[in-house]
This record gives sequence, structure tokens and C-alpha cells, in this order.
Amino acid sequence: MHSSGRLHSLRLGLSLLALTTPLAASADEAHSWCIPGGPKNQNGSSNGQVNDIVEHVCNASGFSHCCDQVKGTWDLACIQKGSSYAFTQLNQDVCGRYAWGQGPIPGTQQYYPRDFNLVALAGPVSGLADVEGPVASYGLATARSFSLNSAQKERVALVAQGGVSFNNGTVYGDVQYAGAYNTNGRSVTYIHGEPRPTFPGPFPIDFTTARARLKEMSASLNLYPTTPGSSVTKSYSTLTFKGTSHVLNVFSISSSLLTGTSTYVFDVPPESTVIVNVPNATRVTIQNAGFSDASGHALPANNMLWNFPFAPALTVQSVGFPASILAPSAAVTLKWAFVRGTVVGWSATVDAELHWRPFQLPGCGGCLCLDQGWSCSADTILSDDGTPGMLGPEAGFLHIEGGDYRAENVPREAPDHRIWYSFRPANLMPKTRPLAVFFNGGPGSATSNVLFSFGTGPVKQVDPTGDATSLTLVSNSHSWTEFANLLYIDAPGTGFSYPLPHAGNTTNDVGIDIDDDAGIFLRVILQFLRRHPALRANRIILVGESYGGTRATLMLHYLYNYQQVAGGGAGPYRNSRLYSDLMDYFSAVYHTQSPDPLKMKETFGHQVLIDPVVVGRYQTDNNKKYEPQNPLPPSTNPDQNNPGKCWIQWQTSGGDWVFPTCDVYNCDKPVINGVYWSYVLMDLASANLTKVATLNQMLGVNAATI
Amino acid sequence: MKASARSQAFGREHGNIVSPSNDWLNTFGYTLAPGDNYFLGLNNGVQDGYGCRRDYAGTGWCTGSVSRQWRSDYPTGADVGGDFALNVYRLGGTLITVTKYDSVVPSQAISDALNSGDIPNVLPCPQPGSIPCGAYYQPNQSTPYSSPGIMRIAFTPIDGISGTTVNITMPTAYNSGHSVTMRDGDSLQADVRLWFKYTAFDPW
Repeated sequence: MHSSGRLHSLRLGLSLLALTTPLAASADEAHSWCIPGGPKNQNGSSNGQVNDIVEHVCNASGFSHCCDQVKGTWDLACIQKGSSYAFTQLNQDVCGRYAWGQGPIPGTQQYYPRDFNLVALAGPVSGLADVEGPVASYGLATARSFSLNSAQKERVALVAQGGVSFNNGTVYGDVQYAGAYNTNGRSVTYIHGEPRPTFPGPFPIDFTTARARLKEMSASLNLYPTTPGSSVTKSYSTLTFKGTSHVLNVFSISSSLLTGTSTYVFDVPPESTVIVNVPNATRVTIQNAGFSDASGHALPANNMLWNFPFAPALTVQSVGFPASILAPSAAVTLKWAFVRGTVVGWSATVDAELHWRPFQLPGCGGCLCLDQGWSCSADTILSDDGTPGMLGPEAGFLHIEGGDYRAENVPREAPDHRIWYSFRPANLMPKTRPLAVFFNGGPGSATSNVLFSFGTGPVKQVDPTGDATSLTLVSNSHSWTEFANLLYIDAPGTGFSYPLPHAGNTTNDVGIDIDDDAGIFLRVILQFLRRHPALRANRIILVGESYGGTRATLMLHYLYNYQQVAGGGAGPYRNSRLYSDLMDYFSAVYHTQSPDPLKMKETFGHQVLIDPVVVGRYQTDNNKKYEPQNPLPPSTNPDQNNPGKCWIQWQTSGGDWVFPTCDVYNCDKPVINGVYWSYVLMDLASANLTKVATLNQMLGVNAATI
Repeated sequence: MKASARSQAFGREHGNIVSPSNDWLNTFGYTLAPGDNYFLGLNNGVQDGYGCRRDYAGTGWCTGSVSRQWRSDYPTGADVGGDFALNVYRLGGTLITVTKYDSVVPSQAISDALNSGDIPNVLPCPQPGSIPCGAYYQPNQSTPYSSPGIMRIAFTPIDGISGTTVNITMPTAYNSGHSVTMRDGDSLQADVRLWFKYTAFDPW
């Protein structure tokens, strides 16, 4: 059975190429564009389909470097562009990249095998005990004294088509199953989940299709040529892999080299992706061994895949295995081991710890590689569809196109804006969590040096001495990431955001139009969601401070009164670009372009307003009634009309203005060298943000690559 | 972020300009466009309305029509207030902080403003502060999901429904002023977390 499966997979792998020239030559040719290298010649192949793909990439806007024979290079952006074209236009996963992210499981944004710890494509999974991530099993899944999906990064902990047999354990998330569900009379605890039978109805994973595609993928990866300049050498019991590519290092070894090897050394750039192909159609064993880099240190997780396209059996025993495993035809046995990665096999027998470090095929880092309107740090890895395959810290700019619009029935023209954002995913199950969107007020205030810096995110700035002389970074034990994903936005022209002239405009006005400001903010959120499908239909919590209350009010007004925003609408603010973004969002999330307000409430139903202005001067005219008591000594309060009160400023009978000696925003705090205490803190925070290392810590990404 | 990518940036020369560190300049570049700076905590250039500011060429003040003002324009305040009330009515989930030492934007004043009689959607009230008309702030009203405090708003008939009142959660316990997260971030997070849990469909 396995033998015929192998032959089938090989045939499928080659048939993917659908070439017009002899298979042997064209196989290499097609896969040569699946890895980085020198620039491609648009007509350099004898295969018409390869030429078609290369030509499409090189003629695409922003991709001319892929074919520039002097300065160009065929990088991951070129590969992704070609892969996307081949997948959507030719219905072919030529590079084997799409198979890794199939699905998702209906009702979730959980793809397989990418978002799983262990997948058995055609047989059972037995012996589950300590598994940080989700498991998918075609056959019966058995677990004893177990902890399943304890990392809680994904919603579905177990998908088992052949039934479930549990015995004393804890499940973090849902179990979706067909067949029998048996706890054998023992205790099974569910945290944030429950058992969910899937019958009647289709099973959430189509294992037949998944099996075929992953075999194709495995065969395709096996055709990747070994990276030029790389080597594999064995000295006594040490096997050393040496590669110099900072992007992708591909090795191919015989399984015989694994015999007697107790030390595996990977001398490769730490940020590079490593693929080790072991093409033998024999039983393979890796045992009693350790892995390290060239300095003897542990290898980084997430970026190494061992590919066993034809092995009928694979045993990993007494090994700390720091990589993912793709062995679609193998009965996999993991014994006395711990594995950091995703394991894909025909079946799986597990007596090991599985740690959730999902492998992701290398994509082009940094969002500009596929989308000219979106720049972000290079550690944001994009899947072939141009979206982040997994949710991680992210920061960058969204380019919001300006141009003509109408406000108060007056035609106006807005500049383009590059709007700065920082994203931090929720600690647990981020795809199921709401998106909290933070913005400060002013108008003109940045978000980065207030809500972003103080007390909301995973890292916060604090005043350790209390004298407002310096701020330090500490981990925030009350981060909002405990229950939400976080998106911080600097308003147009503030913080890191900056305007650019719109093509053809005559003046570059930086003043704020309260209507267009809110319109821009709403467009930023909608465009961010479009680029993050895993979050697109999630609940939104608008978190606006001070003038941010006015902004939030107008944003929601435009959402709920979308008809008025249309170019021909009757509202005070009409912007066809915002209207277009709204229609795109409505179609994708509500499945209609004329949603009911109750439907919109399901996503945009929450706002948190921090000391907001929401009724303009009607509100501020009533401030005096609520002036708080000033706890500072009376000598600091010269307003004789309001003794003991906090006050903003005071005009004498002679008409002179007297300015307060306490911080009007925190009137129990002083003015320091003529500056309000809170402004001093904001300035200190700003200074920290313009130190690269500090900013990196706060963002969780490498800002230097944005 | 790099200077080379923002050579046309403008309008960032008035406000809280931060001088970047040397490592920043080494990383992103030393020379920006004349009207640009890397970080601006507060941009004063945006505050006086669109269509009324300096243009990039420095030719002085614009004379074109000015956009709606957020601060001094009474009709705009009433419009925004009406939109705010309608949002509250439709959303179901609004939390507003009330801080102890803010003398610039006390949230309690929202209820007085809504009672002015000019605000669309809010039920006019001859004697503000009594439900079922107008808006009523109750600082000591306990809630099941956060620190005490609510504001109750009575609405004119909307969408064919009359006589409706809606509550805004207004936790009052913060021993701080504006930008509460600077001093009471832990308390606010706990309140918001609980409030969201009870007001949204939250399976956790």
C-alpha cells in the first residue's frame, strides 16, 4: 500500500509540472525558479509554461529586478509572485508552497498542517501525552495522562476522523471528531473548548486531498537543487551541514549518513531557512543524537524542515529534534524525544514531547515585496498569497492614497499619507480574539508616545524613580494582549506617520479635517484587516483618548451611514475611496454590500474612550463644574476665584493670564521646568522611541528593516 | 522609515520634535526633507483646520474654505454629539473613563453637554438629569463588570423604537488624570477586560 502510494506521489509531483519538454530536463528547470538565485531570462527556458510564469513575474509592476541581468536577483518575492500566478492561473502548486497551508478548518483561521503540531494523514495517532500544539489524525487518536494544545495559539486542539480515546488529561481548545468519543471513565478537562462531534456533515479536514497535496509538496521540495556552495561532511559521528545563504539552504543526504551520527551541526546563517531532503525509500532512524549550530548553541526554531518524501517508516528516538518533519508516506515513531516543529506522517506513534514551533516556508520578508501600499519589517514573513501566514508582532506603514473628496459640500483634496502602525497579537489564540485599535487625540497627538508607550502593550515604559527624569522598559503584566490583539495607529502627520504629496496636487495642507482624519483612520483599519485575513471578521474595540473620542465617533458614523459616504451621497463627508474600502469589508465579512446595523454591531460593537471629547465645545464649556480638588499645596494655586481647585489658566482683573503650576492633565502632578509632568513623560517616551534598540524591544520586530 | 523612502514628506516642522539618537541616524539616514522629522510627539501644524495652514512652499496662510473645527464650532459639536449618542444607541458597548485629576477633559461633562437641548437623538429634557429624558451620570452606580459608574441616556425615537435608554459604563476609580494608562494602566486593563467579557459574546 505504501509502495503504490509512493509511486503515485512521484507521478503526481511530476505531473504538476505539465511540461511540454522531456520530463527529466524540465523538472529541474521548473524548480530552479522555486529557489532564490540569479535573475531569470524571460525566454530562457525551453518550456513554455516556465517562460510564461517568469514573463508574468518580470513584467509585473515592482518586479523588474527579477529579470535584470546586471543588477537583478531572483529573490523570494519573485518566487512568491510566480507561485501565486501558477496557483491561481494555472491551478498548479509548482513549488509545493500552497500545500503547507490548506484549509482552513471551517469557522476558524486554522490551516493545516501549518497550524498543527502533529498530522497523521492516513493512520492513527497513539500515545499523545505532552503536546503544545494542535493534532490532526485521520485514524483513532489516543491520549493518556495528556496535555493537548497547551500553548493555546489555535482554537481547535484535536481533529480526529477515526474517533477519540482519552484517558485522564487536559484539552486546551475544541476537539472535533467523527466516530466514537471515549474518555474511558477517566477525567478529561477542557479549557476554553469542548468536544464537538462533526456528524452529520463533512469532516473539517479533507484528509484525502491533504494527503495527495502534501505528497506532491514533499516530492517538489525533493527536486529543489542543493544550494550552490553548500556541503555536508561527516567526521566520525558528527555530520556537519554548511551553507552560506541568508535566505534558503537546501541539502540532500542519503539516509545511510544518519547511521551512527550522534551530533548534527548546522553551520548556516541563523535567520536562513534550512531544508534537508532525505530521498531514500527505506526505513530511516535518527537516534541518540544532538543538534547545534557551529558554536555549539541550540538551533533557532521554526526555520528547519526535514523532508522524507519516500520513507515508509521514520523513527526519531532519544533526540531533541529542532525541526519540522514532512514524511507523508512514513509511519512515524517518536520515542523518548522532544520535537520542536510540525510533524507530518502517514501515522504517528508518540512517546515524546511535542513543542509548537510551526515551520513556515520562506516567504519574502517585509510587506512591500508583494504590496506596494504596505511596508513592514522584514521579520514579517508572508505566505504566497501576500498575507502573514501566522500572526506575530508586526510594525510598518500603510499607504493611504489621497485625492479628491467632499466635506460640507466643498470639494477638497487630501495628500497621501503613510500611516504608522504597530501590531501585537494576543497571548493566546489570537485568531479568536478581538482587535483593539488604539489612537490618541490632540488633534495632532501621536499614539506611539502615549497609549503605545504606557500601560497597554506587552512592553511599557515606566518612571522607576518617580521624578520624571528617565523612563525604562519593563514587561507589562497587565498587557491588553491577555484578551485582545493590539493595533496602534499614529494619526496623519504625527508620531512616525507622515504625509506625501498626492500626484498632481497643488498645495500640501497639513491641517486636520476632522472628517477626513476619521475617514483615513477607518480606511487604515479596513486595509489592515484586508491584509490580515485571520483577523478580518473579528470584533473591533476602538480605543480613543481625548480628541480620539471625536475621531471614534465619526469613524463609527461613517461605518453605520456608509450610503452617505459614497461619492454621490448626501452626507457632510463623501469619499469614494473610503466607500470602496467599506464595500470590500462588507462583502468579505457580512457577505452583503448593504449590511444591517445589527450585523455591523457584531464586529464594530465596542469602544473604549479615555477622557474623551465627544460633544465638542458643548462639553468643554461644562468643564468648570467638574474641576477636581488640587492636592498640591495652596501656594501652587493662585486662582483666588477657585481656591483649592485644579484649574487650566486664570485671567486677572487686569487681563493678564496666569498659568498653572500643576499639570492640568494630572493636577496632582507638578510642572517641571515649565513643562507639564505628563508632557515630560511623553517627551521621555518619545526620546526612547527614537533609539533603534529600544523601539525594537517595544515593537517586537526589527524596525531597521521597515 | 528610511530617509531615502520619504524624500517628499512635509508638514512635520511645528511641534514636539524629537532629536533622534546617533544610532537612529546611522540606521535610517541623516538627511530628511526640509519639512520632515522622524518623530513628532505633537504636530501643531494640524490643529487649526484643513484649508487654513501653511503650504509646503512657505507661501503663507491658505485662504481657502476651512474644514469643520472640532473645538470652537458649536454646530459641529452638536453634530458630533448626536453621532456619538446614536453610536452608543447602536453599539451597545461603550466604556468611558472618569479620572480624578483631569481638569481639561472631565468625562462627567458629557452628560451636561448632551442635555443642552441641541443634540440630535437625545430626548430633550426640561430638567436635565432625570431619566427618562436627557442624560444622567451616576458615579456610584455599581456594575457587574467594572468599577462603579454609569451614564444613562434617553433617546428620541430611533429606528421606530421609542422610550429607550442606554447605559454607558463609566468606571470612576482611577486615581489619575488624562491618559489614564500612564498611571492606572493595570486597573483600566482589568476593567476593560471584564467589561468586554460581559458585553460581547465571549466564550472564555
